[in-house]
Amino acid sequence: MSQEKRKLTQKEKILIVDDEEIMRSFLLDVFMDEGYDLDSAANGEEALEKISRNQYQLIITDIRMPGVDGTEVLKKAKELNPKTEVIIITGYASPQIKQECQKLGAAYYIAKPFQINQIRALVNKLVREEPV
Amino acid sequence: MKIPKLQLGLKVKFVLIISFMILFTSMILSGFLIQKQSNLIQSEMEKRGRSLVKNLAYNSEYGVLIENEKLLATLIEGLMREEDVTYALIYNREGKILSQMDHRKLHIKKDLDQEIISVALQEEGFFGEYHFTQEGEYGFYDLAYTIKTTKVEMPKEELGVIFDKDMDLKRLEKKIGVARIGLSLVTMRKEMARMKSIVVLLTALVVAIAILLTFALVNLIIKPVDKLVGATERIAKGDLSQVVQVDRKDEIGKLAQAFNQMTTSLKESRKQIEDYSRNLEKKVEERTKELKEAQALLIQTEKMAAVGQLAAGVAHELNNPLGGILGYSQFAIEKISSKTPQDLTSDDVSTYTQYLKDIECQSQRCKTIVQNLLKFARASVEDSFEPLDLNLVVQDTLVFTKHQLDMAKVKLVLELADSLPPIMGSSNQLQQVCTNVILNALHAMPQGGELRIVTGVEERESKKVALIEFTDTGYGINQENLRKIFEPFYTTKKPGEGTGLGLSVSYGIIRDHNGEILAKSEIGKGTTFRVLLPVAETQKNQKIHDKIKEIAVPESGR
Repeated sequence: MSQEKRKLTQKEKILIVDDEEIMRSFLLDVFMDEGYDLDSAANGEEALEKISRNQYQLIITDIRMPGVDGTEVLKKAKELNPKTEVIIITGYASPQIKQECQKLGAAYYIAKPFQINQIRALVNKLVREEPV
Repeated sequence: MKIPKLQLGLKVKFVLIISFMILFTSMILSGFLIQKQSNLIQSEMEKRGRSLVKNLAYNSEYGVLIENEKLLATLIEGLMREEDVTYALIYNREGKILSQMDHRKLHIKKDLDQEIISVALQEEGFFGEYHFTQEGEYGFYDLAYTIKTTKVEMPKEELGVIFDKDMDLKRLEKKIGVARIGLSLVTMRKEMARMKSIVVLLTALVVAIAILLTFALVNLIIKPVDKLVGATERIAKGDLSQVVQVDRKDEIGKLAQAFNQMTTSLKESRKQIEDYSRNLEKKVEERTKELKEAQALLIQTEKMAAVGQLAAGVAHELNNPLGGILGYSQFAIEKISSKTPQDLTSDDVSTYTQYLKDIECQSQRCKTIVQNLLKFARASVEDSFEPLDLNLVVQDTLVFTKHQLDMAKVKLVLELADSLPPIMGSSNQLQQVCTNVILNALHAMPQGGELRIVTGVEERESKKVALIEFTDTGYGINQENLRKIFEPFYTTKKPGEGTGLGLSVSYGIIRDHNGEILAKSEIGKGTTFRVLLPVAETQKNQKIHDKIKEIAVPESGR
């Protein structure tokens, strides 16, 4: 749908962080189609390592992960580059964590399972400033 | 029985003491009496002896003066008729025997004669002493008296001269001889012996009567005491219905009355105690019921809390596959709807097939989770005991807690026994116990660690038990706290973070299963919880095994 708008020369970099393999593969499939430059991490440590080496316009991360969790990834990303947008996706989280994420500068907080259009619209809006 | 022995003792003691006192008093009195009587008898005898010898001396005056032996012999003969006079003698001034008579032919010592005679002639009066002959046990009372005369010694033919009436006769008095008699002591001794035997007999009679009276008196006191003792024995045996019948107004009567009063009040208090204990039983029953209800409520509350705690895990567990399913199905719909059937390439088909396979796989995952939830919920409602394999209990628990273990970076080491004998229990409740212990271990390892779960069988007090052992590498618990961990509301967590009920409820559950839950710990090294459950009886084992398989197969499709 937005393939004609895609600028092949400068692909926007997105990092997908989730310990659930199915969620990673789904998000990769969806945003591959959108023409983004994608990276993924299966846990918090891997994510931290990747954000310290690469510049990402957007990070989509799960909250509950063994070891380094989503809030730490969010914190680190915002610390390294405040312009990096972060979308939190979660299977379940308490309102306290949701509030904490907002405070830390997460753009959106989405509960799993989410609508494909919803996540696509939010990502496109944040990265390419497309209207929702 | 000891009491009658004691009672006999009391009776004997009374009688003995009083008898002894009577005997003692009587003996002293009779001894005194005998002494007095003996003295009296002796002085009577002496008096008699004096009067006899004095008479003899007076009567012999004329005979001695004229030295008429015939006359003197007549006097002595008369005297000797007296039963106790043994011998009689009359001496002249020179000490020559004028007349004598000796019944028993006793040889009176001559030197003794001389002594008595010389004294009697020199002085005036009685001279007597006791003699005890060697031959007989009875002695004699030897008594002498001076024979005097006022008649002037003159030729025999002048004896008829009459003196003037006012002539001093005393001045003319002259000692002319000695009269002597021997009184046998036999009579006196006999009299004394008779007197003694009478006194002794009387004393014995008095003592006997006194002892009999004592018996009667002691009986008078002891009999009602006997009754009281009997009543006490019956009361001691628990029979409070008896009343002591003593119709007397004295101290014993008062004692019996007081005793009866005591029995009555004892009966009343026993009744009160019985009533009280009956009430107490009822109260205990009520309280026990309340306690059981409270405990059930507590278990329910804890169950709810556990469910709440696990809700996050379950939601996470379920929402991930659902996210995949929803995402891929929408994605596939989008892709397919953007193409006509003619545009479809084999690549497209394989892509869509992959999407569908992912969806299928994730749906299966959801199904398993839901099945486990249902099982949990159903078990919560039924909660009946059934044959269980502890390995399955552990595995079912891990379905809900595995994610949390991963989250806490706790490495799980599972060492499940190849086959375990079945135990009887509630799968739901035991899963709750396992969950509590696992969560406890997690909280002890905030930096991650290792949780080792081992199942097995061991002998304990010659009974087979199946066991689950949970060993963590957490902080450990000190000995003082280790004692308290199974107490309700004991928690080391901050308020609001833990109810402090988990382990106490677990303890209750395991106790309901006739099992044991034990904890041992070392600070800095970790804690081990052991859950021991008795193995179901052997003869039933096969049946139970079959049943487990039956239950397990359709539901263990994971």
